[in-house]
Order: sequence, then structure tokens, then C-alpha cells
Amino acid sequence: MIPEDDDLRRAEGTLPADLAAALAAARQEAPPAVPAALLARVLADAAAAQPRPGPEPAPASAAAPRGGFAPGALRAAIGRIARPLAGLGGISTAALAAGLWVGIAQPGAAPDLFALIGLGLEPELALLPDHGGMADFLDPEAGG
Amino acid sequence: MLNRPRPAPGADPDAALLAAYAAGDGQAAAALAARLLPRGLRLAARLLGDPAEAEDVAQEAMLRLWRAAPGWRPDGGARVGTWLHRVVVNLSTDRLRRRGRTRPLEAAPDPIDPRPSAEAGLIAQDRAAALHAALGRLPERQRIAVVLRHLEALSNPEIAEILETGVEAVESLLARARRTLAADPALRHDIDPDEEG
Repeated sequence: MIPEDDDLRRAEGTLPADLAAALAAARQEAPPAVPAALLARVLADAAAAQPRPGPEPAPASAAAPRGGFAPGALRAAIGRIARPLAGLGGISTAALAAGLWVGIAQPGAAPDLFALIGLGLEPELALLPDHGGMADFLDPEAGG
Repeated sequence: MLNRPRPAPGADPDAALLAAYAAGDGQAAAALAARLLPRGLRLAARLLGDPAEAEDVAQEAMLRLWRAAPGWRPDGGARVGTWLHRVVVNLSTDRLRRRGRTRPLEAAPDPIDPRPSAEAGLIAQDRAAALHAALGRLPERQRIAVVLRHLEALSNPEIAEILETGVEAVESLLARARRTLAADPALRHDIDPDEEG
């Protein structure tokens, strides 16, 4: 027997009597008996789909084979080593990009760095005026 | 068999059984089937009008429940019974659409002529047949709403959850369906057929 709520009774109270009676009668119909074959199929499905309680998960140290590296342990070890170096990735990328830029599109005014440190030809670009020029620059009256 | 904790007052007892099933309780499935399968089967039969198809739908719905058990969250989402109703409704609707028919109850007898039984009143069987035929003439969602509300006695919020719509939309579906049913001559034995013609 299905309990009826007040809203349902009120709604059916506005319906034609025969319709309301038909609905009430249908509502009070007992659920059909479940055929035994259907119940057996449903329970067989349930048994097949039921999660099997598995063995307790072993601790990580026990999972690794003795005297060797398990793949998981190897990955973990690499991760531990590489983690502090991860922050250097940005620096190396920036240095690479700067090197490429200088190599491909070298600014015209860039000095020859080898010459500057005395390993090659004289620098073609005078970064400072010669001594006389410098003296003139510092004391214009003496030079004139 | 595992010890099942007694569900808290107001908690869904089916959810507790489902959790017990997921934990390996061999008896929980039988208890759940005893609680849920008859209503699922009846709903499918009401929507499909075909006992064999209704059995298939009920079995499939229960199978989906078994599969959903490990991930079931008792503290959030639908009650197990409401969830199962939704699955039954969706599976039944799919079957009806595959059949290419919009009315599930073609097998039900045609609307009966009210004249022969107008004086004595309809016997229950005739009245049920007339109701089923009239339901079969309703649009799909209106029919489902009427079956869930007036035959399964579910609340409007539960129906809204099953139909994945709002409560106001359910009320609108029900109001339109009631108007149509009230105007169905097979269900209006208070009308003098001579006056109608």
C-alpha cells in the first residue's frame, strides 16, 4: 500500500470521479511478483559485478625485489635527484634564446669579445678616445 | 556475511545496503533486489506495456546499480530508489524510441465504450484498461510524469530529479496531462454520451 500525500489527494480531488478512482486503484495495485528466473538473473549479475575484497596492499619496501631496482623505485629515485634541478630549466632556456639571437642577428655595434680580451686582432672600434683626445676632452683650453 | 551498520534515522536504507554490497556482503544484493526490483519491474511494465521488455529493463537497471555500487556516495546525490527509477525511465524511453513509436501502450485495449457500463459503473479491470489506454495517448513526458506521480506516488521533486528538470516543469507537465485525461471520454463516465455527440 503506497501512502498518499495531501497534495496528491488534492490534485485528484479536482479530477472527474472515474479518472480519480482509476488512478487511485492503479496506485494501490501491488507490485507484480518478480518471476523467479528474473530474480536469479539479477542475483547472478550482482554476484558477477560484486567487488572482490583484495589482499591488503603491501608496503612499498616489500614490493621492491631484494637487491634490485623496481621500475617504480627507479622513477622515484630519478625524481628525487632531478627535483632540485628543475628550477634551472628557465635559466638555461633564457641563455639558449639569448645565444641564438646574438648568433643570428648580431647587433652591428657589438665589440669583438676575443679582441677585447687580447686573444685576437686589435679592436676595430675605439671604445675610448686616444690619450690626446681625452686630454682635450678634459681640458679644452690646454689643447687649443 | 559482514556486520551491517544500522542506517541513521532519515538516512537511505538502500544506500546502506548498497555500501554493504560494495564491501562484499553476499546477502546485501538479495536484500536490495527484494526492496527495489518489484517497483522497478512495475514501473517498466507501466511505461512499456510489455512484460518481457519490462523484465529486461529491470534487470539492466539493477545491473547498472551493481556497477555503480563501489562509487556510490551516500551523502550526496539521489537516493538509491530514485536513482533506479531514473535508470528505468531512461531505459524504457530508449526502447520506446527504438521501437519508433511514441505511445507505449499500443498493446492495451482501445478505449472502451462507456455506454454499456455507464449504469452499473465500470469494473476495475475495465477502468484500468481505460486508464492505460488514455495514458498511452499522452505525450511521452506527460505520461511519465503521470505514472510517477499518480501511480508510483513519487513527489514532484523526486520526479524532477528523475526527469532531470525543475519542479515547476513537472507541475506544468502534470497539469497538462490531467487536463487531457479529464477530457478523455473513455474516462468520463459522468458524461452522457448522447449529450456529447
